[in-house]
Amino acid sequence: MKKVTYFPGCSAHGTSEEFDMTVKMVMKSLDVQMEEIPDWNCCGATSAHSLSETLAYALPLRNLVLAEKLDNATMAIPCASCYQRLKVTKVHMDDNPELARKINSTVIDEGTYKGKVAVKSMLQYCYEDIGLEAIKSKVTKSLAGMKLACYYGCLLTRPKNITHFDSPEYPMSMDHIVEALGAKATEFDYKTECCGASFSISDTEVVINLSSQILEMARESGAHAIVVACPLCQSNLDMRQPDIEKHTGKKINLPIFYFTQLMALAFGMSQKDMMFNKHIVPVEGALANIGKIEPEPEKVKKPRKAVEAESEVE
Amino acid sequence: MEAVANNQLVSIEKPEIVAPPNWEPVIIGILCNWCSYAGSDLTGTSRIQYPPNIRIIRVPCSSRVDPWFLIKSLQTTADGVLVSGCHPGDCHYISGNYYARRRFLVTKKLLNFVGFHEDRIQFSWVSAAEGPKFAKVVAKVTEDIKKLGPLHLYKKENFEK
Amino acid sequence: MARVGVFVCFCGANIADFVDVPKVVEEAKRIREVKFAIDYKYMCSDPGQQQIRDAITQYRLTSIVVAACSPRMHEKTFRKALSDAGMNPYLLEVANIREHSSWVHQKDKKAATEKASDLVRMAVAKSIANEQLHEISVPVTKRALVIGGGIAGIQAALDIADARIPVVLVEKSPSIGGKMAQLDETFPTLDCSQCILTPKMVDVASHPYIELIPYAEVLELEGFVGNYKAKIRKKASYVNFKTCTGCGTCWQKCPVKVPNEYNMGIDKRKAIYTPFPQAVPNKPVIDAAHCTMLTKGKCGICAKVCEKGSIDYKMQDEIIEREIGAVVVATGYDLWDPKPYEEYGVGRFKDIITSLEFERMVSANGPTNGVPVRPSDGKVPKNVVFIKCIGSRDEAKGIEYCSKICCMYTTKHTILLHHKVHDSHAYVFYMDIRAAGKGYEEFVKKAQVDTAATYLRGRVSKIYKKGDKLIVRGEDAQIGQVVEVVADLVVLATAVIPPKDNPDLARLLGVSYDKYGYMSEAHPKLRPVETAKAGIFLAGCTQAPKDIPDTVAQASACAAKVCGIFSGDTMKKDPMISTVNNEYCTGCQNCVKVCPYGAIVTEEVPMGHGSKEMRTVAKINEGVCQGCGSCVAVCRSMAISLAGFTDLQIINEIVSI
Repeated sequence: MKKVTYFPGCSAHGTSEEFDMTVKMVMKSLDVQMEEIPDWNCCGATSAHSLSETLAYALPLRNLVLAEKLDNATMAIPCASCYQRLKVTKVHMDDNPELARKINSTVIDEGTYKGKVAVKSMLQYCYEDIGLEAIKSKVTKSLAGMKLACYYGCLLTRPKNITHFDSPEYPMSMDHIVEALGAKATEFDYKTECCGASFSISDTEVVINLSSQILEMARESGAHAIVVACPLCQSNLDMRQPDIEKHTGKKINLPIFYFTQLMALAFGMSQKDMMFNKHIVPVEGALANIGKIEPEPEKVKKPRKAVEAESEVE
Repeated sequence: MEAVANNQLVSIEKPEIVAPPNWEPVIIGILCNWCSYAGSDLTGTSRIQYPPNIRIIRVPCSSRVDPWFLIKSLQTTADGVLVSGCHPGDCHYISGNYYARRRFLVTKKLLNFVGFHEDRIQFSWVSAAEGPKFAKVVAKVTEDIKKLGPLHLYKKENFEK
Repeated sequence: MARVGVFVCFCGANIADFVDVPKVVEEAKRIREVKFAIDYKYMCSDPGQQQIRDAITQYRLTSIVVAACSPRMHEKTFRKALSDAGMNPYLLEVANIREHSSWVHQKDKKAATEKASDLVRMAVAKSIANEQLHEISVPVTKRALVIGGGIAGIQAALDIADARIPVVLVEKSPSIGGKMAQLDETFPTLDCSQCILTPKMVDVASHPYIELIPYAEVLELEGFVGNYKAKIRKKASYVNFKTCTGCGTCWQKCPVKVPNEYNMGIDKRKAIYTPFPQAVPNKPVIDAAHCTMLTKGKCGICAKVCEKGSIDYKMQDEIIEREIGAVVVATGYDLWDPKPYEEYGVGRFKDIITSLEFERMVSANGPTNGVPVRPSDGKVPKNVVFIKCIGSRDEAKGIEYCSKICCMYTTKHTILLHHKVHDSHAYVFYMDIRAAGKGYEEFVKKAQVDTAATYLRGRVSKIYKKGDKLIVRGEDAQIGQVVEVVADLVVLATAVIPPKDNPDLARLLGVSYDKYGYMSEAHPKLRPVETAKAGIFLAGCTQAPKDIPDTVAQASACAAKVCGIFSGDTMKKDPMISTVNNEYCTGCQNCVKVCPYGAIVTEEVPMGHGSKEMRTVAKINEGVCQGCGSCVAVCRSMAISLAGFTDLQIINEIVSI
C-alpha cells in the first residue's frame, strides 16, 4: 500500500467538493492511503503574495513543516493554486537556506523545516507515482467513444523551473491519463491559456472573454467535454458557461469534469458519488457518447515531408 | 630558514610587538604575463587607485613560480607575497595555472607549518579584463599584511622610518 | 662588472605629474652597477631612442633599463633601439613605472616615487643577470590544411593554392559546397547561389595545388606552427572513386529511401547517393547506416548494376597522414532546433517550417521545383508569416547573441515568395531590422516596397490551429495591441549555432572556444583571424555568425596569413624558451609530465668519465616550447632554465627591493 500526504485546500471543502470526494474514492481504489495534514491552513493563494512576501512564504511553509511530521515522501495537492504556492515556497526555501531560516522563525512553534517532502499536484502524483499502467489496470468501464479536451490552466506546469513537470506550453500528462481510461484526447491548442480566474469577481468581462475562447477552441477540437485538474478552472469554465453563451449567442454546452471524476467513472464506481448534480452544465449529453465508437477514417498516405528516421524499402 | 621561522614565531606568539610608527609593509606581486599582468596594466590605464606597497614581478605563467621564490621573498625583503594567474581554464599555456594552484596549496601548508601566518602568501585569479578586481585584491592583501605587522623587525630602516 | 644604463621617461605628464622623475634618476645613480642614468620627456620618441643608442656606445653599457610604460606596450620598440646600436636586444629590461606607479598612486607622490625607484632597482638587478639571446629559426613545411569545404574553406583553399602552396582540403560530407550550396539566391544582390559557387567548387577539384579529401575528418593534429602533423580519417565510401564514372545507375536502382539532408528531409534520397547533382566530387557514397547490404547483408543491387564494378562493400576507413605547416578551420555553422518553442506548436504543426526548409522549397533545384508548398497538404500558401529571432536574442529558450544573417535572408525570402507566388502576402514579425552592410538597408527598403510585406514589430506569443489554417498571435508593439494573423505557412528564422562537434575539434587542435562553442580568435579587433595557437586560423562561421561577404573576406585574410608563414623557408621564434643542463639533469621526467605542449622528450647521453654506460636526460624541442616555465618550477635538480626568466633573474628582483 502506498501512502501519500494530502493537502486538500479550502476549495475542496466548498466549490470543489466533488473533486475531493472523487480523489478519495479513486485513491482508495488504487490502494493509496491518503493522510490529510492535521491542522492545515490556507495556502495564501493570490492574496498573500500581493501583500507581503513573508506572509506568502510563511503560510505554505507552515503546511510544509506540518507535512514533514507525517513521514511520507510525497504530498499531493488537488488545487493548482495551493500546489503553486507550496511548490514555489519549497523551491525557494530549498534554494536559499538563509531565507528558509528567516521564514521558519515565524512558524517555529510547529517545528523546523527540513525540506524532505516532495510537493506534487494530484495530476503529477497520478501520472508519476501511480502511473498509467496501474490506472489502466483498474478500468472496468472504458470511456471509449468520449472525446475530451484536457485543460491544464496556467499554473499546473508553470513556471518550468519551479514545477519541473511536463511541458509548460503543451503538456500531455492528463491527455495520457484520459486515454488510459479509454477516452480520446483531442488536439487542443488552448490547454494552458489563462481562463481569467483572478478577475473572476473584479472584472467578470475579462473572464467571459478569455474563458469563451477556451470553450470555443475545445468545441472546435471536437471534444464532448473538458477535463480539468484545478477547482478554479472548473468553476470558471462551468459556472460562467451560461453567461458566456448569453454573451456570445452561441450554444457551447461542454460539461467540465475533474479528471478524477472520469477515473472514478471508468473504474466503475457509482455515478451518485461523483456528484455530477453539482455541475451547472449537465453532463448527461457528454456521457451518452461512451460506447459510441466511430469507425476510424482510413488514413490517407501523405506523399510529402518525410520525417521518419528509419529507412523504408520500396 | 631557521632564522626566518624564529622571527615569524616571535611575531605570532608575541602580538604585543607593535609595528613602528609609519611602518608600511612591502608586498611582492608575482603576476603571469597574459592575464594578471595585463589586468594590472588595465588597472593603470583605468586609473584605479590602490595602496602603493606592492612591487610587481612579471613571469610568463603562474606555473613558473617556484616555491623557492615565495620563501626567498619572505626571507629577505617582503612582508607578504601575492601570486596571481589566469582564471582556471583560461591559462594561456593551457594548464599551467592548475599546476600552480596545487603547488601553492602545498607551499602554503609548509610555510604555515614552519610558523608563518597563512595570509602572508596569497593567491588570486585575475584576468586581463579585471582591472578593478586587481585593485581590490591588492587592497585586501595590503590590509591583511598590515594587520599581521612587520616580518622583518630586525631591518634597521623599519625603525628609522 | 655590469655596466647598466637607466633611462627614465616622463611620458609627458603621465609619469612626471605623479612621480618625481629626477629623484628616480638620482636614486638609480646610487646603484653601484649603474654607470649612466638620465630622464627624458618621451623615451619612445626617436630622440629618446637616440639617447639610448648614444649612451650604449659612449658608456660601453652591458644592459639597459628603461623606466617607462608597461613592457607590453613598448618592449619591442626599445629592443629594436638596442639592436640598432649593435647590442643584443634581450639585454633590455623595462620598469613599468606608469601603469604600476604613476597611474595608480596619483594621491601620494612620495610613495609613488619610492615605488618607481624600487621598480627601477629591481629591473637593474634583473638586467644584470640577462643573457644574450637569439631568435630561433624553425623549418617550415609548406603545406596548408583547410578543415571544412564550405564557401569559407573553398575560398581559403583557392587563395592559398593560387600562391602555389599545396593545400589539403578536408570535408566531412561527400561533397564540398557547404550551406551555401543549399541556398537559392543570395542577399543583397539576389545572385544565384549555385551559379557563383559551383565554378569555385570545380576549381577546387581541378586545382593542381589542392588535394581534396571528401567524406573525411581530422583525427589528430600534433606539432607546432610550421611543423604540424595531421591524421585524417577518410570514411569508407564503398565506392571506388578511381573507377566510378558518376553515371548514376546505382542510385537510380537503389531501393532504400532515406530523408534527404540536402533538402532538409523534405524529399528522399537513396542509400547510395551524391548529395546534389552539382556535387564535387560527383561520385556517390553508400550511407552505411541505411544500406541494407551493409546492415543486413541483403540487396547488393548497386554492385550488380555498376558496369565498372566500382562498388566495394568491404571497403574500410582509411587513415591518411599529412605534414602541414598551417591550418585554416572553416567548419561553418548549424541551425538551432526550434523545439523549445512549444507555444508555437513546433513539431505538432506540419506547416511550421524553418528558413532553410523554405530556402530549399523556393530553390530552383529544390524538392518542390521552386514553389513553396504546405507540408501538410501540398497546397501553395497564400499568407506566409515569417518570424525572426527564433532562438537568437532569447536567453530563456535559445542563445543571447544576434545571429546576424536572419534579418537579411528573411527579407530575401519575402522577395522570393513574392516572385514565386504572385498573389501571396508576407507578414514579418521582427524585433529589430539589422541591416548593416553594403547595400543591405537599401535592399530591405526596396523589398518592403516591392513585396508590400506587412512588417509587425513584436514577438509572437502563440500559434494555434483553426481548421487547416494556423493562427499566429503576436504583439504589434507599434500600435500596442495583440494581433492575430491567419497563416497558411509559418517560417521560423532559427538561430545560427556552431556545429555540435566544434568544441571537440577545438580541443583536438588546441584552440580555445567560447561558451557557445565558437572558436576564439586571438584578439577580437586586432587579430580576428588568428587563434591563440600559432599557425591555426579561423574562417567563417566557426568563429561567429557571418554572412557570405564577411566569410569570404575572412577566408582570404586567412590565406594571406598562411602565405605569410610560408614566405620563408624558416620561421623566427621568440627565444624565451627552456633549456636543459645535461650535467644536472637526473632524468626524473617530472618536466615531461607537466609540459602542456609535449615539447619535452628524453634522450640518452653518455654517463661521462669515459664510461660507456648511457643515462636518460630531458630534451626540449625548441620549436614546440612556448616558454611557460612549468618545467623549470618542477625541476628538482635545477637543470632546466627558462631564458629571460631564469631563477637568478627573478631572485635578483626579489632581493633587490
